[in-house]
Amino acid sequence: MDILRTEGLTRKYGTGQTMVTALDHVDLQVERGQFVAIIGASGSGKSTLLHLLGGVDRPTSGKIFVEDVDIATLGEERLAQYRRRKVGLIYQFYNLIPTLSVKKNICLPMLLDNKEPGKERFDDIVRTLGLGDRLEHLPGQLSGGQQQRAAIGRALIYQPAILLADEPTGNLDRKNTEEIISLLKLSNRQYKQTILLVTHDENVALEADRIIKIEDGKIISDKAVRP
Amino acid sequence: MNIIREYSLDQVRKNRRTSISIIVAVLIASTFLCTLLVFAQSFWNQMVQQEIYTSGDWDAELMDVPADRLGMVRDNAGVKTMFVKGDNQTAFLPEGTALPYFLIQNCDSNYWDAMYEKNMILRGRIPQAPGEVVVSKDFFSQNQTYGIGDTLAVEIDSNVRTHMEGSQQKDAASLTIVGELDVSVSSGYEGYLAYGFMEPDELSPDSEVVVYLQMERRGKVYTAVPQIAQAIGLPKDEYGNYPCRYHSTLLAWHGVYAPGSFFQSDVPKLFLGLLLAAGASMAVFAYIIRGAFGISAKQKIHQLGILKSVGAGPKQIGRTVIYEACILSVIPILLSMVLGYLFSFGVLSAYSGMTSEVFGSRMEVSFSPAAALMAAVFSFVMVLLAAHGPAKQMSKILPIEAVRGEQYSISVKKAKSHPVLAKHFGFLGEIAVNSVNAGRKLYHTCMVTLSLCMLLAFGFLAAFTVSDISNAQAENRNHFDVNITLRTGERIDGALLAELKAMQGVQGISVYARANCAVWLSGSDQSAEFLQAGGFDGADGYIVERDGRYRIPCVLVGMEQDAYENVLREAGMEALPESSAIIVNSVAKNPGARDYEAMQETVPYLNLRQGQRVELTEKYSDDTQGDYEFTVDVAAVIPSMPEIGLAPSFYTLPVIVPMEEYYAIIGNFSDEMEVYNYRNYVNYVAPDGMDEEIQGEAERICSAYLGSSDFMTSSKTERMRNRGRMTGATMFVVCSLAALFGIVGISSVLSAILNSLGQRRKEFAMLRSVGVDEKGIRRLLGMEGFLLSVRPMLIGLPMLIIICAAQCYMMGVSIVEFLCAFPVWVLLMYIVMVLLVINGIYMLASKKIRDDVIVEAIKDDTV
Ligand SMILES: Nc1ncnc2c1ncn2[C@@H]1O[C@H](COP(=O)(O)OP(=O)(O)O)[C@@H](O)[C@H]1O
Ligand SMILES: [Mg+2]
Repeated sequence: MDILRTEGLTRKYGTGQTMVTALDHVDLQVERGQFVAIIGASGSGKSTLLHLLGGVDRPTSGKIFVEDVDIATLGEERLAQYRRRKVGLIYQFYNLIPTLSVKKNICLPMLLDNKEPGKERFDDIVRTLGLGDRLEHLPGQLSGGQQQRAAIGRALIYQPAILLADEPTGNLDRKNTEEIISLLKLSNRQYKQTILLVTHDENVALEADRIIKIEDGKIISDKAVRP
Repeated sequence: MNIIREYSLDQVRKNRRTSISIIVAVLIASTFLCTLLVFAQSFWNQMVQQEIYTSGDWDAELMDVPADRLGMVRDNAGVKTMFVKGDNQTAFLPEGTALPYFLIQNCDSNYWDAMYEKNMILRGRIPQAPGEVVVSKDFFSQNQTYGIGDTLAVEIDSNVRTHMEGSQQKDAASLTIVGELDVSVSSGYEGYLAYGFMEPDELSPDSEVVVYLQMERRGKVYTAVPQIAQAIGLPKDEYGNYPCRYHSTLLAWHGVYAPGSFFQSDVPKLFLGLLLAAGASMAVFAYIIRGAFGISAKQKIHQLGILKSVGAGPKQIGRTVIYEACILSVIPILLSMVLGYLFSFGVLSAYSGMTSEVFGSRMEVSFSPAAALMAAVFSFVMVLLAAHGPAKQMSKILPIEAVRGEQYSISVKKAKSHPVLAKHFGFLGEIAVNSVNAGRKLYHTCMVTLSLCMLLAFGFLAAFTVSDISNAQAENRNHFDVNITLRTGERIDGALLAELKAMQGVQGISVYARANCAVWLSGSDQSAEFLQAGGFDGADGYIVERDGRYRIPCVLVGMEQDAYENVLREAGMEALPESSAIIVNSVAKNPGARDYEAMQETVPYLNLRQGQRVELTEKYSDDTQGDYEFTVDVAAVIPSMPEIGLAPSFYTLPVIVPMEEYYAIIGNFSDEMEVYNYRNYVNYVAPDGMDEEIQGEAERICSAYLGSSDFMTSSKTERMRNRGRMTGATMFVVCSLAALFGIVGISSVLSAILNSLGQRRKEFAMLRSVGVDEKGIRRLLGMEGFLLSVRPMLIGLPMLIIICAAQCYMMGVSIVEFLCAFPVWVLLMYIVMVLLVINGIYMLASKKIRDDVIVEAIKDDTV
């Protein structure tokens, strides 16, 4: 059973002469629990794909089935709910709210639902992220790696079925990159989360179960690294 | 705390500059609204107080109430307070007084408290015990030996209007004079008016009194009072009404109307006007403040995008803006109450200082909790209205677009080339035009805000100027220089009129009285010329048609016998038939005409001939109570109204009769109309510069005969001076409100500019890093400031000119006259100020930007 399936997914930007087709009839299936790496040149449409899957952008045409619901047809409130509960999105830049403490930033998706995370799970995540002594700090007082880890924590807090990461290590040094990739792999194994990871880094891609290559908005290769 | 609320609060704290600019805008706007309401309430209060001062604080009046029923009235649950006047007495004065009687009306203590007579006491105090009286001023002037404090031995004749005529008895009594009263009564009564004191409980049961009521619930007065009248057994009159009257002016100010008269009153119109003014300014302010919220939202757009992408719903995103609005508006709205009060206190004090001589009283500034609450609600609604747009916009935007911020949406717009500017300023000129175009929002804000403020403030000033000019023009066409109105409610004393007619040094005089009436005619009675110009059927609203008959409004004019005969003689008539009348047979050819000359053009009105008999009726409108009918014989038909200072309304037929006949006719009118129609008008033509002197002399003559509320004098010079004062004072109020608008407009434009420049620091640094030098930056920004400040003026000014021209056209005022009176310098000042402020800001900003370290500015990037 596929957790994620797209049919003819297309996204165009602009109109007339300046129109750009960022994503061109992409058909893609992802099984539950798979760790997928997406690679491709800059401007090939990787981010666009991830944003569409994450429900933060709307396709020009095509369908996106998540657990058999076409999210392209959801209303605004339902789509927001989807973003909150079903997916975790991690951008290249840290994208934390600067005025909220690290703890609140991590808990944000649940707080927006007027819920508090279970203490055990929260402590577990924070321990794994190594942010235990930084919870009351503001994001600005954290290093880049720590901020990215907080962003990952936020993506994990609701235990979403799908984790989407757009070059999460693009701005980090070797050591931080390794730590974060192993964190993602841990989460993938521990919670049976499906992960789509956009990366430039060959080594990082090789950690995945499957590598998809995109060029000019089309999938040009799709191969399994591991069965 | 809810995370959205916490986020909003944090943002407000963090973004000081935007928060402050919103607070300032809300503060000034709510101060304006508060001021508007304080003005309105003070005006209302003034009107109510004035009404109470001149006619007393009562809601309804019951006449002919037998004294033994007073208890029933007092105990009625609907009655709050009752006061009584009546039990009239005639006191025969001791030998040696100029006139033989005091005509005494007795009033109880409630009456003295609530009614207006106490305001007419010139010296002394109000009576506080039976046997004390205040006496009209002519008693003192005619009997110099008497003074306040004197006790007179008199014989009292209780001429109670009972059915026992003839059984009058005289009792010896003594009266103590405790005060002098500014009232009068016609010399025909051979007595002096006096007011005494009575205890209603001690009235003899068969005496009849007038009862005034203040109601427990004012709104019910029109139903409750007839019920009271019925309960105490008062008889109905021939029209089926109880003998009661209502204080309809005062009731109207309190929003209480007789059934069906709501739309005839001015109060709802004034209230509607106030609501419109408040609504319009709320809308304008909301637009301006909306800009500030928009800026604030734009600044947060990246964060809102993050919130969205982690799952905040559109409602939650919208709420961040609304919460921000609430948090930011509480303090300024509270503060605006104080500021609004202080501001209106200042303005109104100045206003009342300037107009107190015109009105004869100063205006009190009043500010009630209700008005404060209303101002707060208005302001809050305005803020929500302002925040609504940006809130909706933010909640609709795609999360990823928000996360990216605005960088894409601008660059995709194709740069427009601007040949003229490009030629003179080259590449930089083009960049400036493009960056103004790119900052569309900023441009729009400046545009709309500045031109709206200009239009509102100066459009209103223009309207005011035009109506002022047109009033002055009307005044100049006035043939007479001094006008006197005598309104005693009864026939004017012949001695007084004789003295007025003998006035020295006047070049012309007219004396007349007038009463509205009507004549029913058929279509064949209209003249051919009039028929051609539209006829009866073209006079909608003036002439009523029923069953093929037309009701033509008439004005019955009474002229002194000699003047009447003069008019007849000029018409070539000698004979003076019984019950004769002169008909002025002319009607405006085109009453809709705009300019004065065309409006004056007349044609013959009716096919009336000398010797014809015309049947007239008192009932000139369906609401007129009486329906007395009378006939006059046409002694002469003349083509135009004699110059007596009376300009008949459109489609109104003047019917001139000798004064004696006039009085004989109106004596049969219904009581209320009879009393009203006793008014006499005396007009003088004065030599240049003498009008005030003659007015003073007339004033002196009249006050020797009449109480000061029974006559009114005015002169051209006085009216001109008063108009000048009123104009100055009103201009002051309008300008002060306009200034508030201007401050809001300019301050919000400033914050928009500062914000836009701040956001574009990076852009400028980039330009510098690719080699644009300091001079270039200065020119670039100078140009942008110039375009931004000049464009609103270029759009606003023509619109303003159109508005002014339209007003001039409609009121028939020439452009030159308008330009002489319109405060052009204020407009110029506003324009210069806008140009200076905006360009000044750009100059400062350009200095700061040139001082920026390029690398830091480029690095200063949060995303
Ligand atoms: N909001 C946008 N407006 C216009 N063009 C866009 C927008 N977002 C992306 N694009 C274009 O779509 C293409 C794909 O972009 P993206 O998905 O960000 O590529 P990648 O992430 O692979 O570098 C690019 O050519 C980019 O210029
Ligand atoms: Mg990308």
